[in-house]
Amino acid sequence: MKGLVFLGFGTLFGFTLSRARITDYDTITGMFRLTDLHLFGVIGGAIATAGLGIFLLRRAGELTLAGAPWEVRPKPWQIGAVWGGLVHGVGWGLTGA
Amino acid sequence: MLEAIFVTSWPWWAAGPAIGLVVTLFAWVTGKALGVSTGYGSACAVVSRLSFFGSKEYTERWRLWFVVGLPLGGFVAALLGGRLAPSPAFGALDTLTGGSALVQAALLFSGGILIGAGARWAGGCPSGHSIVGIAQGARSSLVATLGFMAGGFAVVNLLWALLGGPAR
Repeated sequence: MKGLVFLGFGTLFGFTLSRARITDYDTITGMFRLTDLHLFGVIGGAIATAGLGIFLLRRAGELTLAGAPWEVRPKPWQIGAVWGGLVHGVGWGLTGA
Repeated sequence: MLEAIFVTSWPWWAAGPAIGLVVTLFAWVTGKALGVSTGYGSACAVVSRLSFFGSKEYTERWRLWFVVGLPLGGFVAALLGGRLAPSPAFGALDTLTGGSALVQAALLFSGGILIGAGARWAGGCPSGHSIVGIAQGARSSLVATLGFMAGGFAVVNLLWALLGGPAR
């Protein structure tokens, strides 16, 4: 039953990414070639909105809708962020996906 | 109005906040940080006995449900948009590779390996790091995102310089 909640959120997120054109080869390579700035706006808007949303939820006591404690935490620093980030970025550019 | 939401793609000023709202709603309802790439690790955990995939991060089942939902959402988007017409056409990639299916397969397959390995190394992907991580002000997420952008920028511009394609 709980699985269906996550399945639903996955579907919603997939739909949203698709409508945002984040799943489109031309849009992604257009961002890296600076010929289509659409995705910079999408990512910036997403960070700003998620930042505000998480900030408000933190202020409200870090609880879920049902009153349970939540596990949203910043990822700890590790040097892999540098090398893994670059490797992932190269893959991102090669596939445009 | 209905058509702008369900049928056509969204402008950046609507799509960005929509993604941020899904992330926020997800945290509020489930109490978890939304992320995609760790879910592929969960899929590995189902069949792998490597100790790397034995940690709680990968044995939790919710991520599997979530990544199964992603292509479903893409399918629904294509269906509602009336663009559900499977074809091998791949936009500018066809131009870049001169339509060679072999070169395309090589690029996509090698890129896929780098995407998976890089995301595990970096501890996240553009959803978990670039959006959820930066939204919390995490240094690792900011650094990883600079890496995603630098890697993508370098390889795409190198590819287009080497293989040509239409001028800007």
